Amino acid sequence: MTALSRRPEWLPWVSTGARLVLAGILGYAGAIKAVDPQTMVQAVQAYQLFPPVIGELIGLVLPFLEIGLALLLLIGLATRFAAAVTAVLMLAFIAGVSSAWARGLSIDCGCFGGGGEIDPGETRYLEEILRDVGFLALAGWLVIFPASRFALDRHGRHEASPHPPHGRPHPQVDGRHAHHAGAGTAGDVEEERTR
Amino acid sequence: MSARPTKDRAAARARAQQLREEQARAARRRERWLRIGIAVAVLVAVVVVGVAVNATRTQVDTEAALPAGVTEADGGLPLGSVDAPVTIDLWEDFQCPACADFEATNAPVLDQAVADGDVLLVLHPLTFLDENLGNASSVPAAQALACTADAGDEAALRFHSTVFANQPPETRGEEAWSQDDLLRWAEESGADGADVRGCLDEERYAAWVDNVGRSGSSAGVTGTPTLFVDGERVPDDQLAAMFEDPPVLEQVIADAATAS
Repeated sequence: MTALSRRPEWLPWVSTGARLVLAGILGYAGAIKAVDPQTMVQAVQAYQLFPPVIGELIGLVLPFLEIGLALLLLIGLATRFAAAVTAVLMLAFIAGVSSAWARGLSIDCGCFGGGGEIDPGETRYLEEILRDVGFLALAGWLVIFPASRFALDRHGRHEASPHPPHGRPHPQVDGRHAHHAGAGTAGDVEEERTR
Repeated sequence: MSARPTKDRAAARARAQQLREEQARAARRRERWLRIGIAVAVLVAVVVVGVAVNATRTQVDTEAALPAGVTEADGGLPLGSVDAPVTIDLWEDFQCPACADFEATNAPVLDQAVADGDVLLVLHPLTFLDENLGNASSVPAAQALACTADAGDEAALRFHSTVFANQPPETRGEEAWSQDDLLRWAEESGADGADVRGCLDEERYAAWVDNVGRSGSSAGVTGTPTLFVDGERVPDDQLAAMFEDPPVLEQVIADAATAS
């Protein structure tokens, strides 16, 4: 609690920004790929990393995984988990593009639709990798600082819950005290609220 | 009030607070796992529904009208004698510059081998470059090939070579040819212009062209040109040699003929 309260005010706002930016990027990338599954499957095959059947499966699943992650980040549900999965995804993308580069393939990464073989002079591997590194940094930030505004997650606010905790210990003790000193009980409740 | 009850009270309070904190921590843990559980469920639901919808969209259209000689909904266009000893499956996009280079070197060899009945050439026209180049030229060319095949294998073979011979340099966002160009080339190849126009206008073979594109992914064709000789994919180094020298392909055909 003390560690949390020492964190600067603006931190959750930066995390909110990271969440929304990442959600926008993933949502856009997923949607543009989801509407054209055929191109997406070809883009995956162009990496020549998987047998055709597996490539087809990845091509079908990946866009919707991206959309699902975008949704979670947008509403801020299990932010740290969603960010961690996104980070793993970005690492996989970086590895894929790097391997295509290292093997001397001439492909478009297909990151935002398109994909497949292109002219050797038109490859943009470094740019694609740096872009993914940027997205990885956003995801990494959210893994470290998942607490943010406008999120379903309620990081650090549970202590301020207006409801008394369930299974309050020894209510009869409180009751007896209330009998003797009502003001004390009121003070207990008040203490809980403000703590 | 004596000091003792106050002390007891303080101790009880401390115990109670400790218990409350433990319970709160346990509740937070439960809540966190619940949130992750819901998150996983959301991911799985989105993926399952999405894949289910898209899987039907990527399925081969079995109702597709098929060009002359094609027997399967996603099969290539067979040119030449079905009794030929060697079958060559050729995957090309009419807008692909490497395919034009390949054709420039090898079209005479292939056309002769087909004419002599030595090779059954199966053309699989792909159209992915429309997407890459931001135009719509590969699809009509592929459809026109199918239309031209209705006028016979020779017309289709000639049309195929003519399009590659007239392929302009790749220009993003610009059409590689007009429908009039395609019709003129079809006529020059021996097809009836009006027939081909009608065929293109009604997009008679659009579904077949889509099917061929899908079959490319499942066949693992990732680039063009890709050749299969009697079902065996020609390796990249051999393919590279074919670009340089017509005898390489001649030798491959001769070897395959001996093997079968």
